[in-house]
Amino acid sequence: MNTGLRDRSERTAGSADLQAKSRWVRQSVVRMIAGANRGHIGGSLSATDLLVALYHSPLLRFDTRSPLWDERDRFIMSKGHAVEALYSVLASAGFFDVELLDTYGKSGSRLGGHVDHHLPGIDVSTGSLGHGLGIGAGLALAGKLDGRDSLTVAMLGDGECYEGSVWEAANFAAHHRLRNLVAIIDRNGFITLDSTEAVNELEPFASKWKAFGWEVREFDGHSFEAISDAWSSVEDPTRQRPIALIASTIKGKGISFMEGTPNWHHNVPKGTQLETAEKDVGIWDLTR
Amino acid sequence: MRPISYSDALNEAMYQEMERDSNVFVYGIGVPDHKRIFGSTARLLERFGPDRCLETPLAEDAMTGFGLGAAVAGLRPIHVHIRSDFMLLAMNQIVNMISSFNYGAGGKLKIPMVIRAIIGRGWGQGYQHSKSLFSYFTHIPGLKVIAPTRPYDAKGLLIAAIRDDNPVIFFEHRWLYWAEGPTPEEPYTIPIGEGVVLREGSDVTVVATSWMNVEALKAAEILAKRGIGVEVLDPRTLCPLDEPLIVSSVRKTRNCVVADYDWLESGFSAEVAARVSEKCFSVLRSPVTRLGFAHTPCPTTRPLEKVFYPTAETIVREIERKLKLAPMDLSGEETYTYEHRFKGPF
Repeated sequence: MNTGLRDRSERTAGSADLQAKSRWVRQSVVRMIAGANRGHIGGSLSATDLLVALYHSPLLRFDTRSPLWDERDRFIMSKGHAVEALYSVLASAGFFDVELLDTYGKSGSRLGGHVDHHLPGIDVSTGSLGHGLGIGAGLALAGKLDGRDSLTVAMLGDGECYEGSVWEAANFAAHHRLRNLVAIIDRNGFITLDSTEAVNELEPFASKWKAFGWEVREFDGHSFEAISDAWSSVEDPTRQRPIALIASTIKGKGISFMEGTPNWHHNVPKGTQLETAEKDVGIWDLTR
Repeated sequence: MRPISYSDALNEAMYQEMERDSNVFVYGIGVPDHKRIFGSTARLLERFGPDRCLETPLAEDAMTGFGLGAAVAGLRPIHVHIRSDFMLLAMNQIVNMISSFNYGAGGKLKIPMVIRAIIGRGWGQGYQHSKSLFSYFTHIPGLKVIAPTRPYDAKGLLIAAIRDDNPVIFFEHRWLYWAEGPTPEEPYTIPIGEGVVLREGSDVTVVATSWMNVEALKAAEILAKRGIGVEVLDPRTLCPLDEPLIVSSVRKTRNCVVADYDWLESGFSAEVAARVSEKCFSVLRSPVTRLGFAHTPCPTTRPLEKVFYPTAETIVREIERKLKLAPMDLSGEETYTYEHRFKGPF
């Protein structure tokens, strides 16, 4: 019987299944943004594989029939601009109907341009950067005090890590040994319109997290094997400290002319660019 | 004077000041990017280079402290916030440090810093991108607060702010960026603390801030059709306030409406209403009334936005109530929207 319960202890999906899910999510992201004529496409595509792994491997524990189940893992999309990928993943995981995605950004829709906690599967409304890890630290501390074994996972943008509040939260979490707190950093190397290293160097990035008392794993955020391997450190019972998963990703991943360029943070592909984008993510294979 | 847009007026002010004084520089998130803060920082990177027109990380508090340090050391920084909401992240620096640094240094250190903050509406900015918060800053001794309406005021006051040796918060409404108005090409200053009467009238004074002046002028135009004279007064500087100008206008009209582009509760409008009541009590024909945002977070949907923001119609209705007039038919009047933009001229 399908109860809607998914648990990280029953990880069943293989890489091929996950790749198929990611392909679907990327198609959905392109459709949503083209349909609404608005959206954050580059950051959605860099985070897609990470989100798919979280909800479809699954790496998280959740119940789509009971989104507020007390024992669920808490996930915070702190980079709340990448809403199209998150909504697509949540819909494909069963939190709400995939048809709802077609309404994104349109009049009367429940799906707006930033992550909204009124939707099932979303604990925290986000978009204003720098807040997710602090909220996550609070949720993790509460979980620890309550004796729950659930995780709190916050996904941050790398540019978001410019905010001092991120490091205040990191400092607090290490002091309290919040081993149930996971920060996933979508290290796509770009902020809105330039590379992070041109605007203000983040490197040596991993050393900074280590110096703040966190365990760190660095890996390819587009490889499901690498994501799964990194997650084994999350589940390591001997780990005492919070853990930062620095996922090396590509902004605009999956669309040839967007990959690794600063031009597709908030732009919408049109005309021949949209055709290429659709072809790259495979929408053309399905429709023609 | 040529007609230029508000955005171009801001740009011209900075360009000319950066030409005149090599200590002036501009920085902030998005300042040198391809959209150039809605055009207001255009040409600066090309003319003055990345040392004087620079991008910053998302670190508002630290970047405000950076401005303070630069100002103390003799430079004249202009920090830009593409949304005033983001300025809240820098409140510690602004309120605890910058505003009182000159005082704390026994008057020996000057803080010639300008913080530009864009307020206002777009196509549905919602509660995170729509705050004005004038009174957060007018409340603090040591800060000057400016909110110009016309391109002429924008240029003259921005140049005055840059040349001022004290910290200045400079509010710019997004919808004003499209509006054109006659503006001198050569550099000039408008004294900080001087208001202006945008339209003379004898029946009621509307003290309006920022975009509300556009709505007030429209209301005045509508009410003129039935012979009501509305005096529209733009303080331009919210702190220090041009109290004598407001008092003399209200003494003439004996009726006062304050139309603030902000929430009313503990807002700038309350300050104006209190001062008018104190100074004009004996001549007032009606209590001072205030118009502003509904006291809720700003909604995103268009129908709710219409209820949230005061408009020319709100002003007309308030004046009708005040003067005990029957409501006039406004069905033929067009109001300003994102699609139906006010483009000037003033």
